[in-house]
Amino acid sequence: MSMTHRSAEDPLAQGLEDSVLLTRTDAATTHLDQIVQWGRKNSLWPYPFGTACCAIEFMASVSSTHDQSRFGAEAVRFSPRQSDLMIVAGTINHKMVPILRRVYEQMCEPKYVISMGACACTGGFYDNYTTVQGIDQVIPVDVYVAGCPPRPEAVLDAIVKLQEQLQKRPASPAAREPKREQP
Amino acid sequence: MKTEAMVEMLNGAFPEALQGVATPYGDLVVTVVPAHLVALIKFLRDEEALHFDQLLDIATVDNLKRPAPGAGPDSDQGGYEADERFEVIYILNSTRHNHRVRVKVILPEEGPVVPSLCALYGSANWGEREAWDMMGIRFEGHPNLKRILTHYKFVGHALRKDYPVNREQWLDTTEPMLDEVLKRLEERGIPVRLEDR
Repeated sequence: MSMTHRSAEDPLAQGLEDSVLLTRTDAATTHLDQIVQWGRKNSLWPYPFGTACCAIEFMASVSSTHDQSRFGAEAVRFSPRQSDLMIVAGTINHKMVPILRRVYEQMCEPKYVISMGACACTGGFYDNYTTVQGIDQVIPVDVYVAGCPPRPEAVLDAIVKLQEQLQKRPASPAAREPKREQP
Repeated sequence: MKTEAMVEMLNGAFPEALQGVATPYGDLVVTVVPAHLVALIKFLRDEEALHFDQLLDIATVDNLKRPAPGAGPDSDQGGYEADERFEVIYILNSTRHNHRVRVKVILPEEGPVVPSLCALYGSANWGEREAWDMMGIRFEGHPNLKRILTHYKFVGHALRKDYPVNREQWLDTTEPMLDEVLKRLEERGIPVRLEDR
């Protein structure tokens, strides 16, 4: 595919280096998988499934100080139909499980999940009758973020980690199941 | 109003209702026979000198693992009798006189039932639902005694001392809530066709 020249300092051009071979004639060749995934990873649209204080911290990571848009993931949508990255930010209790699963099912493929904070990852300190001990018993999770709540830098790091994963994946992956079985 | 005067008033109006009177930290706590509960709380609410117009909270206690008096917290000498396992405590406040009272009812292990206070206080509705959900205390005459915190397929009562604290119960579908929605539509005069249900 054809594209204009960019300088070596341009981060976009640097990101392309792994997957695209630039030729002398302003044309580039690449694998279809890689160029599709390159487009996807730089335009993640997050859907915040915020249930607790982690959602407040997520707002901080979107806002101007930390500026999530530097990584192409600032178009926060509150409809699962319009987004491909679900960020589960907060405690998920058992009453919420069918809702979480339904919203995840409503997202179109390909879709990714970041489990943000101790509660979403493991139940946190809520080791009790009401709290799910990790959302990976309900939906598949791509990146886990530790912290209570995580710093915005950690959320940004999770997005970068997800982008690194995406570059290695095939463009049309098989649908995935939750990692852990429900007890 | 002094607590002594309050107790005197209650004793005058309900000579057989009071099982016990205490004033821990200066607050009056009266223990009441369940049969007299509604009449006594209605008296507390309506009497001009008392005027307890707010039901602040309904608290419950499970005495299952309560240690005997003087025994350490890890002692296994149980300190409760089967006929007084549960306590329900109504916390009343008067916005006019700025005084409070706690009304306590002691209930047995088997089938703990008290009459509902929904007719007297609006706040009793959700408070009693919570007490039913968490502790399994039935409130006779409650208009909608459903679980309020745990989900509708939950079995058992989570705050009872014999419920294992981390026993999870999975839920597969959300509650349809049709019973409450239809009732509310009817109250607002919105017609619901049968085939829509």
